[in-house]
Amino acid sequence: MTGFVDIADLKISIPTAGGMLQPVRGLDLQIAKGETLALVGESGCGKSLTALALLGLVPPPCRVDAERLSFDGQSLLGLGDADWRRLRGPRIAMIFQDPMTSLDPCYTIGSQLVEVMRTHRALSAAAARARALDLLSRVGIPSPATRLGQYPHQLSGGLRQRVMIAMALSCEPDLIVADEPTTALDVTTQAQILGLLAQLQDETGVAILLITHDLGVVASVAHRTAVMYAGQIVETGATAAVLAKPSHPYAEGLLRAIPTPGLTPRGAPLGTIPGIVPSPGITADACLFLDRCPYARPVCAAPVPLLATEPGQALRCVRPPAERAGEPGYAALVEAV
Amino acid sequence: MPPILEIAGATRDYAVRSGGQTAVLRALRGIDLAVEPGEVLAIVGESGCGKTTLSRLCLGIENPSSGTVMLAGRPIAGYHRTARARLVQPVFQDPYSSLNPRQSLGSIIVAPLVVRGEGTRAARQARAALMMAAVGLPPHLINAYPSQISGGQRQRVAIARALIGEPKLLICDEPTSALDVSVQSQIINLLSRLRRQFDLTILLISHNLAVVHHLADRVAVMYLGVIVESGPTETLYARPRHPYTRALLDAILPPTPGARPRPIAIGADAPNPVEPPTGCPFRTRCPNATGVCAEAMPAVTDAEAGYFRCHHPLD
Repeated sequence: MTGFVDIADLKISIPTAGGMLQPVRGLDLQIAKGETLALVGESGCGKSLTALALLGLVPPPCRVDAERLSFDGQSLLGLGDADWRRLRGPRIAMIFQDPMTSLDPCYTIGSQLVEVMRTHRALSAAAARARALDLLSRVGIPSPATRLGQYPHQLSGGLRQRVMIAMALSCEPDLIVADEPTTALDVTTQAQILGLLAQLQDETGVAILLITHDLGVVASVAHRTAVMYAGQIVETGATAAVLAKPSHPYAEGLLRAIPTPGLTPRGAPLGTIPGIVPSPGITADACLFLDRCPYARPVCAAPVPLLATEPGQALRCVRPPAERAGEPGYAALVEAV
Repeated sequence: MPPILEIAGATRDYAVRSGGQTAVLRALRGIDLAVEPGEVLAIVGESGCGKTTLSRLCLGIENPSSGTVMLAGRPIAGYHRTARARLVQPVFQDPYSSLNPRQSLGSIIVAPLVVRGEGTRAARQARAALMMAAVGLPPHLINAYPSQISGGQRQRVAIARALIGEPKLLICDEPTSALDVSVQSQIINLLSRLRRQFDLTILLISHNLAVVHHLADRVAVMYLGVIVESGPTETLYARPRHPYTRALLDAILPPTPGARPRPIAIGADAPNPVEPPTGCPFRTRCPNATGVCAEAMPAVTDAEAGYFRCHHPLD
């Protein structure tokens, strides 16, 4: 299967004095046109670096290698600055976690929006301003004409993130990379921003790569979900399937760790994942989750490939649920700490 | 038994510069709150609602501008610093900035005892070892430094330091927000266990309604320096009376298949706390606001073991 976004065996390496670290070590991912794919994982799993690789923004001295890294049929490997400028903005847009640091404090909202559009599209200043107004109202900003003349500090976090979304949409991109777009926001604002992203996707058909650590966010907006651990995808599939029946022990552990009012008995011990994430320096001569996995057996002491289980689903585990029928469950194996 | 902590009519003002002029930001606008022995009371609300200011009052780090804060039946301002620290201890949000990177875990954990001049060096080390076991830290880490351990372990160190002096009350300000999901659950489990083991009272400050539901016996919802609703956790979650509580509950995103974000029926923006709205603080975002809401702050209405402040409560 080749997707609109097609990543095969992506490796991102950082040379350090102590040797090569590899925070992303062989990542495979496809995103179809118009879908929202959530890339889920905990801090340090390499999800943000993966996003940066799609934007050509992996900072030196990090090295990006891949069998394939392509967008709409075009390889993104070895592109020059001019090529990236033609892609970044008009075709691939981005929304970062913190809207305060991603807007320039010295320029008005209007001039920042207009600059993006005039850089990438042949628009007159007046036409760009008119479109900026239109964009601000589409992302639900009240009195957009006033806001155009204001500076980022005059806007709340929620409004700033709406401006970032308006800016991302301004050149009608085909893909938006959103890295934790709601993590810095208040909970009620988060729900509103997620609703807005879903609505805008329905209207424009833009594909979204949503990077998040929050499985609640995943459940509410993502069509498909890819769970990342230690620089690799460990499970991918339709969001409903992954959340309902996680096959990878890490995905299962994550879901068991989240308290959910109405489902988790109050005060009962939550699920945990024992141990810690392996260092990005170690080489993968065994399953990377081995040390923390309650289901581990000797067979896991060899590198594990990501294998398709059903169309659109893949799993990196040699002991999926079908293999361990009749064995004790996760909760019994992991004693609450 | 009297409440461990009793706050009556507390306000807290800060002088802020706004447009070149000095203005008064009233972060707390008349807080009444009692924390009963043995309970976990959660304060929930969004950024800027005053919940961290409230926690600083409870720790005695700051004094109220008016009103009283009583700790174990006496005004908190009347305690000597070390006497106060015997009764109440904090656990902060970010274990990366709340631990001194130059001190070993052992000396971080015994610091409260050293400050009070309690015990011999050997006795303190023994206590530290016991505390480390209680919070699930392996004993060999006693000589390690914060940079050598994970975020979850750091939060365990912060909890061990808070508990070593056997305080009555623990003030936990967003204790799991900086942690990963799998680590968050370990710290939640740890707090659940420790509260029973040490007979603790906990004031839990959080914006995560799911964590609060799991840990707290009672919840107080804050908005713009005012407690707008308070009640036992089960009741409040099952039947919120204040529209803001409803919105916070609607904003919980459960990690279950098919969950769609519920529409949040409130306006997007919190007002500027320097110029709070007249009357009800929530009226500028409230879907049910009418003329009366602009005229008067809603009085406290008693409801099933709790109360709310709203002119047009939900059923």
